[in-house]
Amino acid sequence: MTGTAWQRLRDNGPGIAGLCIVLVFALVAVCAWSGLLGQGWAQVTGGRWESAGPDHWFGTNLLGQDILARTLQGAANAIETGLIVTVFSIFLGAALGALSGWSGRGWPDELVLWIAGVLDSIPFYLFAAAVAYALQGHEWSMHVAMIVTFWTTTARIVRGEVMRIKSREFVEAARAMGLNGFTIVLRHVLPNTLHILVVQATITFVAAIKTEVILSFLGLGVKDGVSWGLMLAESSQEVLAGHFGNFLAASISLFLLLMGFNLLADALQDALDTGKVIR
Amino acid sequence: MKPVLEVRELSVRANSSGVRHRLVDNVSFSISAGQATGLVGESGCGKTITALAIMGLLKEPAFTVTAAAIELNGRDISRLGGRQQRALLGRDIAMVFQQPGTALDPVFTLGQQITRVILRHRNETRKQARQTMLQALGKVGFADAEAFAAAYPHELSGGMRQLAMIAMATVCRPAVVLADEPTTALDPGATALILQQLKRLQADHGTAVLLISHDLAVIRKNCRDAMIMYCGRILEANGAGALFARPRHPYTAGLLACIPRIGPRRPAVVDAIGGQVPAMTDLPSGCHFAPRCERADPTCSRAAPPPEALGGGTVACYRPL
Repeated sequence: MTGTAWQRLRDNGPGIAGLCIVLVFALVAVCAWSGLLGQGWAQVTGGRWESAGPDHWFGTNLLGQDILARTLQGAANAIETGLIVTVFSIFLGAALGALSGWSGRGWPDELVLWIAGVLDSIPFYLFAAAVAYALQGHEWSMHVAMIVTFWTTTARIVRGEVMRIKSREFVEAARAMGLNGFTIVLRHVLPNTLHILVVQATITFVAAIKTEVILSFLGLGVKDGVSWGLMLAESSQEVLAGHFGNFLAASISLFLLLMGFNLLADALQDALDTGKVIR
Repeated sequence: MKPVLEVRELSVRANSSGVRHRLVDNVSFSISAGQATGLVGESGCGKTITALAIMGLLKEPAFTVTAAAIELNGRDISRLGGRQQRALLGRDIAMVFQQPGTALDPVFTLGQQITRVILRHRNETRKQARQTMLQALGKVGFADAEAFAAAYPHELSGGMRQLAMIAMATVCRPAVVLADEPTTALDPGATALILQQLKRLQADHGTAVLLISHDLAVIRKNCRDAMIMYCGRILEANGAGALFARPRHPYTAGLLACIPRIGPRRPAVVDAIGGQVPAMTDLPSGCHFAPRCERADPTCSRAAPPPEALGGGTVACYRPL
């Protein structure tokens, strides 16, 4: 099936375009992490508000820092945040959703639904501010706020899917082979939700990057680093003065990455929907 | 010869919808090594429930299972539970399901699924398990076992899936295989193939097979003994030959009369049993078949007729034929 899923993805033009964009950003992130790109983001390397030129391709900002370096480092930060938030919230959502769906009408289901309901009812930015305050502006407060609120959607979807799968005959057959409940969930039920988890992961990743930018813009996100959100915050003054470097670099990068990811997510959804093949 | 599986006084109650009604009522039977026993009955009469109850797969609170004993090779498995029960399933007693399309996990290859069962029950390395898996697939008739091991269930036909299911159920050489309508979803060619495999199991490994079916012809041709089930009770049990040649219970006789016979001088009319199968929530008292039975008299509705020896088998009827 992986073979055919890849073939379906390969035939999807926009999907491939999205994949290429995402791969380019991933490459940038890897290079930035390994110290090959965007290292001078904090250094003053030029005059204030220099326009684009051979020394500074995207120009410099108020302090004379290179905007290209800051954009690349911002990309690495955005992707890092996206990955961390996605991995944890998908893992949490899958685990709690499976627990909830598998236990049926029992108390674990009630509890998980109640927690999810409570978390969903809190306005997100208020919650992020509260977490940032509670963690005293710790650099992970943004991640914690996102993980704690983002898992609920995945959990709800997984819960429904697990309830559907639970009554399928292969689960009964797995029982008849002597597997216990935990093993059945791990080996038979969750693998059958994989297509949902992959698509949810792409959606969560996009949401996390967007949220990182917004939170950083609001001063609730990245503190001691660089972020597209911080660049946009700087540019809110600069644009009025006629300096578009920060604004264009951050917003175009954000747009490209999100669009690339959305295209890929759409294509993945089509390619991985086993329902179209099997049933 | 000591039976491999002996079921004594098995009852199953469903606890749903407020009413605790009996799906299986005081069923006793035994099956011996190397032979097939048929369990015949209409849809919803409790055949599958009987098999699931023997496997211990019906759990409280939805079901209440009671039995005097379910002995597998002389060991009572009716009061096991949890880990001990699961250790038996798939190793000593296995089940083949009616719908091979849905009984196999769609996201894993056949090889992965069969290997998993081997690793669960046998002390083998992955490499050995793979060899065992390929042998099992070869044994049920897949000439190119490697290719089938790499196939996903949706890539195979129904018959092939059922063969794979049989390979999976029998890979650990269980003493008993409960085959729950294994051929119902299949075409005649595939049916023949599956039945042939079940026969091979009996001959090669001395496996005892409980063949559940509503197809009288399948039972007659493939089983040494046969039991007729109606509304959760076994009405008649006998050697398959004797049972079909000389039915003693009016219901058995009615079932046999339902088989259309094609011949030059026979009328093309099927004798149907009058009336309808009663709802399990509203069973008539006494003999459940009495309201539809031409031979019934008032005694039939008073108490359930106990199984009595007659003509080499047993019949639960006050007024047998």
